[in-house]
Amino acid sequence: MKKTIYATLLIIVICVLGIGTYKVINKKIPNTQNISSVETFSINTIETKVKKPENLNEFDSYIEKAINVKGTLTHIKKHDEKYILTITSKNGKIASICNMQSDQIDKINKLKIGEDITIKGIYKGYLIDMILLNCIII
Amino acid sequence: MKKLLLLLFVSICFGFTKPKNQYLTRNGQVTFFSYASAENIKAENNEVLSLLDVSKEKIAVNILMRAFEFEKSLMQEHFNDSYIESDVYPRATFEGTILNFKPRLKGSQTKFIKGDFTLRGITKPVKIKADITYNDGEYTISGETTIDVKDYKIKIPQILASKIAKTVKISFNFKYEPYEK
Repeated sequence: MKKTIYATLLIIVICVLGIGTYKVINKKIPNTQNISSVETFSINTIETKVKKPENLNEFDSYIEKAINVKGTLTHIKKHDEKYILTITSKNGKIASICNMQSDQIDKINKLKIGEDITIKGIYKGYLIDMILLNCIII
Repeated sequence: MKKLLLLLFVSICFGFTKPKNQYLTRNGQVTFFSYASAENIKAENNEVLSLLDVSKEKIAVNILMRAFEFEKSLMQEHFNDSYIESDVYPRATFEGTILNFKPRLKGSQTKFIKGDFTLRGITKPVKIKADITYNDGEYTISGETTIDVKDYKIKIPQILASKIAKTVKISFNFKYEPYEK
């Protein structure tokens, strides 16, 4: 009897561990909709603060965190099935490149260049522009 | 006065027809693929910065390593934290010269690009075969190459060493637009 109980418990433990490991390994990139943003920035305020792209390292503490960026939409590009939006500051010195989540297509199709928008995305760092991935329009 | 007007006309015409020398993309694509017996590893980066100077026949590429997108969260985490150490080495760069480049040749030409690729702070010389297309005043450069993980001291845990390929295939596609500073 005891043997049967131990065997059953062992099988349950193995199953739980197996399912847990499988879930951890196969976990998809989280939907940005379900992540709270830590800060909201206006791209014009960022430009006033950093003056030039080389100083964007001031924002390194936000890397891998969700942030909101407000500003004027200047470009919409499509690469294969991915949409990339660019928000540019008033004087054109700072821009944010936002790689959009695939569920945003309907919203993107309604956007117009020159429109003021707010994007939420995961900040990844900068080259000459701020780069955000998994972005959504809010 | 006539001479002055003629000079102005010529300089305006020259200004309008003067070919652009520098081309830029902020949305270059770089993908990498590594064969693994358990599961292939693939990631894509659509935010690669590249500058092409056709008069100097030079190309520069700057890649933000954290901007590589993986399908699975854990792969992305391992890539940034364990393999590339993106906090310490946030960018990879390439600077090279296009050999025997014919800048204004319309259509496609296949050329070698010789230069230095820097990853994880380690610089190695590389020679990459690329297709260069010039159409409607814009350039596209695409191609692929392979890198050896040990050249860049990418540490693969012993337990996974036999399951992960020693080389990584890198593909790129850059669509440039004229650039003025």
